Amino acid sequence: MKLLTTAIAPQDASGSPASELAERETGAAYRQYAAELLRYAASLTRSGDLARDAVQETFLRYFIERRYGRAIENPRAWLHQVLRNHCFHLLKTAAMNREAEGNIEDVADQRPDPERALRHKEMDRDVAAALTGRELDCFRLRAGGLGYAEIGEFMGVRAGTVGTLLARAQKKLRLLEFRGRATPPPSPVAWNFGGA
Amino acid sequence: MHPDVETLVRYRGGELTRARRAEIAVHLRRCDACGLEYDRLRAALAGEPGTAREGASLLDAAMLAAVVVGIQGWEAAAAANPAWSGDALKSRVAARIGPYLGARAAAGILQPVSETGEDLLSTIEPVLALFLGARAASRLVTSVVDAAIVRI
Repeated sequence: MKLLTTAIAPQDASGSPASELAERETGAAYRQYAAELLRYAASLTRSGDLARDAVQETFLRYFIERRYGRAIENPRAWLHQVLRNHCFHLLKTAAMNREAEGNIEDVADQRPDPERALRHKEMDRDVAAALTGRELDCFRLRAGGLGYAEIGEFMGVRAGTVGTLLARAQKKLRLLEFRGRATPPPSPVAWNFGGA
Repeated sequence: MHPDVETLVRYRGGELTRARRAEIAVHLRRCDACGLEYDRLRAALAGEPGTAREGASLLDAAMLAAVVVGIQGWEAAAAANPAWSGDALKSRVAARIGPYLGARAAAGILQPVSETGEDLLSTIEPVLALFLGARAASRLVTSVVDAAIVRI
């Protein structure tokens, strides 16, 4: 407790009164809600690191908005909403990074094959052209390792709809393959449409 | 319409009107995604056994220190950068709200805002709510904070 109160409201604060008030309020909100926010973030992200990052960002955001005078009628509800947005942003970034790493690994193969790299780039383009926006988002999130329920939450659709979108994507990509314009991607995850 | 997390927390806390609570209860029974979200939220708020372990192990002095460092770092950066206060700040905010209120009205509303900006959001949000409604105004203010304060 002492660490919390002295740390969040430093004796030698050089900030304005508004900053000091925002600091005290943030400290109070932390004492009240940090534990449940961490639980919520952990259940959303299934990663301790991502959960902590998201909660830290959320309290910083709370501080900034209070510092600039935003009236927050229900801090608890507000914090949970902001935290959820942060979590999904972090998850999306992590999924995109995993996808990019996969592409980079293909391109930076230890046995350099420029023709293969070019085929993969063309395949990415063909895939993006063949699928609708929602199908492509679903496909990429699935390739990033998210389950049906997680994808559904992120996209605001039911898990069943996720399955439908992925099945449609799979059908279209098979047509591309049949036409000889694309070959299946190297990662098995991208084609693992079975199960949530 | 799917209730957002803020609404679900209020619903859990019994803070909504009776009619709205009934509406949400019906929706949660019918909507898998919202039902799942509500179950997750309820477990986290109640500190149920499966979640309490994760929360307790993550909540430690290092976590608090990171929050403090984040705040103090931001304050130091804001003190050193004039872009976070005064006319520079008002100008950026005016650019974001001008399309909704008109440039002249935006400038007029922002003119009395203090140099430090401590009354910035409490000044613009009620006015925006008059024109756009509370929910849209809230979203716009969030985007103003993103664009004019957090991400500069």
